[in-house]
Amino acid sequence: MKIRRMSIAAVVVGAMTLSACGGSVGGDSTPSSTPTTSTSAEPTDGSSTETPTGDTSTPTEGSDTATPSDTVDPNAPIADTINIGLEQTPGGYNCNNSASNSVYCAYVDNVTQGAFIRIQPDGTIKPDTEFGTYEKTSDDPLTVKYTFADNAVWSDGTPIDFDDALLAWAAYSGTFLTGKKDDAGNDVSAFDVASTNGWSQVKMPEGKAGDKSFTMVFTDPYADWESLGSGFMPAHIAAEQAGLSSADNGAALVKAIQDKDIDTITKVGAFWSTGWNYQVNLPSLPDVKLLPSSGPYQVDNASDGNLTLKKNPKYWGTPGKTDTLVYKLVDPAEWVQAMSNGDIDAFDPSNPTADVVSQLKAQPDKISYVTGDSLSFSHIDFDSSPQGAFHDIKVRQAFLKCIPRQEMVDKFAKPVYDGAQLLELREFLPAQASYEGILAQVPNAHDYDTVDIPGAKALLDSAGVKQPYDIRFTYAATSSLRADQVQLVKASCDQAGFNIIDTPDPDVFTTLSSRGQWDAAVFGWSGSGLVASGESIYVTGGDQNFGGYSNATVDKVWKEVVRTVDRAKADQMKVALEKELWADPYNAVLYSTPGVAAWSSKVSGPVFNPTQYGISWNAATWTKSAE
Amino acid sequence: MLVFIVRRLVVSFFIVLASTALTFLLVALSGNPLGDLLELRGPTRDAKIALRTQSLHLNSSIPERYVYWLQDVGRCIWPGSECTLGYNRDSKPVLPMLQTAIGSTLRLVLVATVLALVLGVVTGVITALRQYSVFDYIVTFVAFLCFSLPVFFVSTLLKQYVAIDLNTWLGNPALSYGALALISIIAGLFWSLLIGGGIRRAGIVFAAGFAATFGMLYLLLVTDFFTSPYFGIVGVGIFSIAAAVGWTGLFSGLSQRSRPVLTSAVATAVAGTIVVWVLQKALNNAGWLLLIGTTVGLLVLGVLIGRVLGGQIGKLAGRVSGLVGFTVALLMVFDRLLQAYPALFAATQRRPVPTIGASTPNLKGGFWVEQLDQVMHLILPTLAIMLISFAGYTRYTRASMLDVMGQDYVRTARAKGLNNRTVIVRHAFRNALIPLATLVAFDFAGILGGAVVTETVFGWNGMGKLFTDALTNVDPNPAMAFFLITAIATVIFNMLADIAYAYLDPRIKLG
Repeated sequence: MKIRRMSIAAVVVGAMTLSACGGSVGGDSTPSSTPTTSTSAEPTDGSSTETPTGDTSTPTEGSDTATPSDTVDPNAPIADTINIGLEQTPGGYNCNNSASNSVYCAYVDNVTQGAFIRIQPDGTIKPDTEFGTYEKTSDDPLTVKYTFADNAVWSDGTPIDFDDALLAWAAYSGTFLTGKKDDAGNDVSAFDVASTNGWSQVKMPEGKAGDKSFTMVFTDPYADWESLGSGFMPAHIAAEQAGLSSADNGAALVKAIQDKDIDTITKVGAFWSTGWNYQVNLPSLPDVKLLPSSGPYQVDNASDGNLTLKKNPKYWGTPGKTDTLVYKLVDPAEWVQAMSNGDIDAFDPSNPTADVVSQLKAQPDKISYVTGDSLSFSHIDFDSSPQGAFHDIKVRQAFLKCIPRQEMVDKFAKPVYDGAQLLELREFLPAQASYEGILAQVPNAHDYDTVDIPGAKALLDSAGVKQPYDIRFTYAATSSLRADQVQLVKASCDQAGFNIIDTPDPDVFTTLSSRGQWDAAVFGWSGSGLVASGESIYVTGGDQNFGGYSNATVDKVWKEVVRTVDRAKADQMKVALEKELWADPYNAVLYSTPGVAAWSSKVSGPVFNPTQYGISWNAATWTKSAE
Repeated sequence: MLVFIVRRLVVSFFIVLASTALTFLLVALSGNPLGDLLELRGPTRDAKIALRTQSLHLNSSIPERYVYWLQDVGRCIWPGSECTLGYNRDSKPVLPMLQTAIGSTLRLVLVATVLALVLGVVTGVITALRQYSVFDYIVTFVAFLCFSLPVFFVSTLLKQYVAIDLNTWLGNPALSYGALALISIIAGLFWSLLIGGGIRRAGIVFAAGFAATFGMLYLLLVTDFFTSPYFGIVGVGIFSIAAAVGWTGLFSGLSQRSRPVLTSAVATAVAGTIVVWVLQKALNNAGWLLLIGTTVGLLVLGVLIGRVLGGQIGKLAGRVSGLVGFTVALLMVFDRLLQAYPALFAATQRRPVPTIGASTPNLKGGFWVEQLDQVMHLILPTLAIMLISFAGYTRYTRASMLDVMGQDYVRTARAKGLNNRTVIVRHAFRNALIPLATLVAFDFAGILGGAVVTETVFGWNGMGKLFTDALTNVDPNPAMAFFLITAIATVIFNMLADIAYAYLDPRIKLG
């Protein structure tokens, strides 16, 4: 065997010329005839790279489809460790307090925390019956009965039961206040919880310590009730750390919460809020006895930014396939080389570029990847408040007619994901299963698919505004992508009688919140996958309704949607919403940000997952060949 | 002297105070710390904004926030109060972040700086002695090339060739005869340029260098050195004796008069090798204590042997033998790391050189495998840093050495009949190092600032990464912690440089 790749860079050119001398020293003695690279062109089954196919979105498979990436022989021995790259280390074991809540925390939670539900890559909710079962027993009042699996235990052997559920309620309902005020004069909650959404409408579950089931009764109907069946933290640890006894299935804690003993609850809340936090960049872990798991893996150790998970021997459900999962901190600019070198085995970058995709494409023997639509999207918002430049609906329509939306898709999304398409809805994204079905019912979504300069000009004329009509177009000053997009809009809309004033802003969101500082703005939202979370963007006076949009139909539909407990029904009600948001244009939606998931060709199991749970959502099923 | 130090410390305190106030203002004005949270959508937004506002005191004005920060610093000096240096944007205390960062930066940058210093000084001296030779021109060219290359570019190249491709090669180490010949030609050229002399001598050196490299590589390849490397007690012995002769030649010459030095140095090499052989079992499960103990022991052993066998020049013999003892310890470590290689090779799935991180998690196999793993993680970033700082040291040493070599006292020394080695090593070299003291003091202060790009690119959570992350996230407290440490280090090392200068050069007086 001659030189494999360029071992010593300077030598190669000379070596090629001199290699006519023939022969070689060292290495495998087999007189192999493969001359230079070690490309494996073996035929592949490709079975393990199923892609999440919603009705609409079919993420394109990487490596140019000719060699469908996966070269894993199912009978080969599997490696004992898989390394998953993370851009940031998780902030703590409890992902539900506001300091730790992040996607990177969720990446670990995926395999260490059991839940009644699993969010699928297409955004649908699937019950996890290994963890337990739930059923809606009444619509009015909305009542849901949850039952933990009989043999469900924390990895330290303590059963998962009523005290864990009651602690979850105590934390997420936001009921318990310490009585103190913060700097701004707000009440300080005993639990520093990231969100009380939904839980704040739940009455205290009735029951006694040791019960395997509990019932949530909602004071108001809540559309996303199904997404609440997760986030159970080990109550016995919190109780012990707050100085309570954890004997009798946590009777002491159950009593404290039921008696509303605020002093005790404050102590429990203090531990719940900060006691499970990790140090920044994970130089080490807190005592692992405080971090029991309810999923197939448990945290084992951490060093130098690497977090190691081992299989949870007490897990009662389907065990993880690989012994050890390691989460490694990797710089988003360096991960391709790290994966080529085998330092990380799987990664999904938060901001993939066309450059990264071409690097991935260049090494099909080492890396498999999939591109697709993510759950965040770009859009141009208008100031349509009474004082705003876009208050007149004709001006908004004129602007929509001249924005080159398709060109933006072609220029900014397609280089990464060739299947990228024009986004036509606001509450549904192409990555979600329901997108296509809803879109078919919103015919006016296609009103502005093509640029119509004369039409725009005519509308602007009929609006009777002074031309050229000045538009201060705001975007994040640090983003060259946004700057390019504004230039595209300017090139097109200036012909229609607008005068786009390029206004880069270092602090876009502060500007957006102050009325009168901007006329149009391009930025991104990330979809949450929840039914009701978009409300504050579209209703009159909503927190993120920066443009001051107000439409009676929209307000009315939202009011009904948030009280609809049937997801399918809520989706159907939003058809009217989508129609109205085009008829009385709210904004210009552009495209879903393209996403990438990549993994080593030795690994089988990963799929592209655009939800906030990320690539590791099914890491328990991954295997890696040991060569 | 004491007055000078006290005066400097008082002035330094106010300099640090003023500079922190200025930087705090700049950091606070650099952006909106809530920027990333305002982009969030969904139910968690408000709670996160409230928490960050609270922990960074964002409702207070900038001067008030600076006073809060000064209080946080004050708590670190005041005994009995909780020292956090404030909180970062995620409401975590800054002090542990700073401790981790300093730890990994010292590991990374200290090694690189020391290596670059040693290599740079040696190269600088040689180029000064061979001024305007081909070797001098080549080193000058390479030094400026390295100096002008951006680190991130060097790093990408290093990752491709020294990690990805080298790992692939190590998986099945083989060279064609052509490649072997080419490497040997390069090595031969290197040696003939380094040693210099006329055409005839250059030719002989080239031939010898070519033959030696070719033979050596051939032997290493056919004996599978690159898959299961060996060195062993025999290697330690042979190389120790070679080092004994080398160090004696450099520091005392190999003349009849310095025969006792050579005797004691070789004796140390032999005795040291025996000690290493005896300790073999114990060293299998070594820890830092045993390793440092053995090293110091070997050094002391050398000094003692030198004093005893050195006779009239016992002092010199002691120093040289001490150095030999230290060399034996280094060779012992080298041998141990090579022995650990196969275990690490297997544990890293046949790819021992990583491109990111500071250590391989869950490594089993004991102390030496862990140390080898650390070395492997250090290779790329150390090379990247060295390539840059090496250039500076070479140029400084060369200039300073040339300056000294032209001085009258060097001519006097030659005139009184001292041999070339003594003039260079004893008289010229020492004085040439004085200007370098300032540079080194500055660089060591700079070490604590970390290597911003290198740390980011190679995934080390050091001071540089702490600082850049803080700046990009508009996270004032970690940025200020960074400034505090680097500002203090700068003023202190500045003072030390002045003191060292006065000590080294009697013409300078402090006061």
